[in-house]
Amino acid sequence: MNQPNDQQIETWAREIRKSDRKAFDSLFRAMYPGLVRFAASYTREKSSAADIVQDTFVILWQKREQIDSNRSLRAFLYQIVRNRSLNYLRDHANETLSSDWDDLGRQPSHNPSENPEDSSTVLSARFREWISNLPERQQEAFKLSRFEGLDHHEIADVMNISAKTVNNHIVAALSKLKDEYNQYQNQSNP
Amino acid sequence: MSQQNHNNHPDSGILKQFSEKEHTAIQEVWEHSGDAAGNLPGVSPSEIEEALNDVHTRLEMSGDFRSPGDKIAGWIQRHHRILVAAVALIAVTSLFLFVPKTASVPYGEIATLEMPDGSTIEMNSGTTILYSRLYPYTNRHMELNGEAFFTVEEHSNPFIVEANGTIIEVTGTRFNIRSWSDEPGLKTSVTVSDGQILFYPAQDRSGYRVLQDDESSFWNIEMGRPAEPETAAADDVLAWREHRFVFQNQTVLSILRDLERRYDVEIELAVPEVAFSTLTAYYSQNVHIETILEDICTVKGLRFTETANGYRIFD
Repeated sequence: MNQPNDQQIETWAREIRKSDRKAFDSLFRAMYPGLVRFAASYTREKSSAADIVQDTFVILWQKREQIDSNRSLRAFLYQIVRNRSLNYLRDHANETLSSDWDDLGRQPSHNPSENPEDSSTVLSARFREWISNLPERQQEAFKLSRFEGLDHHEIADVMNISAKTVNNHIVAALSKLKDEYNQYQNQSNP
Repeated sequence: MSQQNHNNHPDSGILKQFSEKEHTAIQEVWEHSGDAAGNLPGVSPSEIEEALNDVHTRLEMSGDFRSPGDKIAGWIQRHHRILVAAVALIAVTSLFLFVPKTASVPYGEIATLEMPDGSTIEMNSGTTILYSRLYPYTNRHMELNGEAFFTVEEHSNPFIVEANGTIIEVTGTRFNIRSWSDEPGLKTSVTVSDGQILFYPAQDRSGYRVLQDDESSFWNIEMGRPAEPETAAADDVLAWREHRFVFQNQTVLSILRDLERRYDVEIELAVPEVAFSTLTAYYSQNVHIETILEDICTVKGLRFTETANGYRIFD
């Protein structure tokens, strides 16, 4: 599913502020999968991620009259989900997380008939590994940019840092991934 | 990767920070890294709908979804019951035309929904029904929050009502469902006038009960399966269809919610300890709400006063 564009989200934000339930439902349908994926990247469990995102939408409706028209609603949602995910990790720090992530992670997403040894599947597995080895903040900024399609100002808002720092994180992340990628290519094509 | 189609290139400002000869590699890194996201947990359309439903239920239970009723229609009701039924019918019919998936009746009104297969659904004040756009061609599946009396025409597709964690499955029959998401324990009561239905918790079809003419049963979240069917006082259960009230050992909280919906008022109960005590009372058509409140207060030793949008009951 494509991420809804900024203009669409702004329109929904205006209608939700006026208590339009249909706009709320549309926003929910458009944003839910991405937000669950984002929350699950912290909690490593789909069920807790789904709970966090549902809580976030309940809060959004309850505070709909305070939606700030100067602020990206997308950033607002990602910020709440991020904070709640981090709280969740803090509260469950000493539990062994049984992850349903790994099972889901093994499923080839785009083409189930594809040979799992296919080079593109191997490559995306490597990328997953490289991304997970990035420093935490770089990883967060990179994922928000690459996977969730947020712009640098939105990411700055979500992570509570400056847009300049977001830029630095993403450049650093890309530069590390590029090094890993070059090295990988040299190994497989000596 | 269809999921990342919107995001095929890194931000142009980002690319500028690398040397020209690195651009191709960065572009490739950007493209390939997108595939890494595709393997994170997927969310199916039905999961989205279920999640949205849960959010609706939570907002309804917390009162955040309560919409102000139609005051003009409420005024007309006090004078011309039949006119209101007609207005409500038009309202529901136009709802059907423009938003084919939802039908709801405002507070203060009762309305009849006529389905394309000839089945009719009389809906009590504040009731919402969601049904498939393709009704009755692919299925006759619907969701109920509230109270409604169904007259179901026979059809090759079974008629299935989902109501707050329960399922009622029928072929051709007449029956009443009362299932409010704000009722303690999500209690759902089903009463059959004639015909036969299957009644079971949504998560366990094997726990079904068969209900026939003049039988009723109920389920709440503490029960594994619905209660053993009993002979129903159908006249009492169906009193709402004639704008009457019959409260049979009903909790004060539940009675006040019925009154809120029927009269489109808000009633504040400042004496929480009586909320779950029960009452039995009968009222004929067009009884004034204050008559009912007076009776409740007399029995429970309380008083009430009018507020801006309803009433307050206090000690």
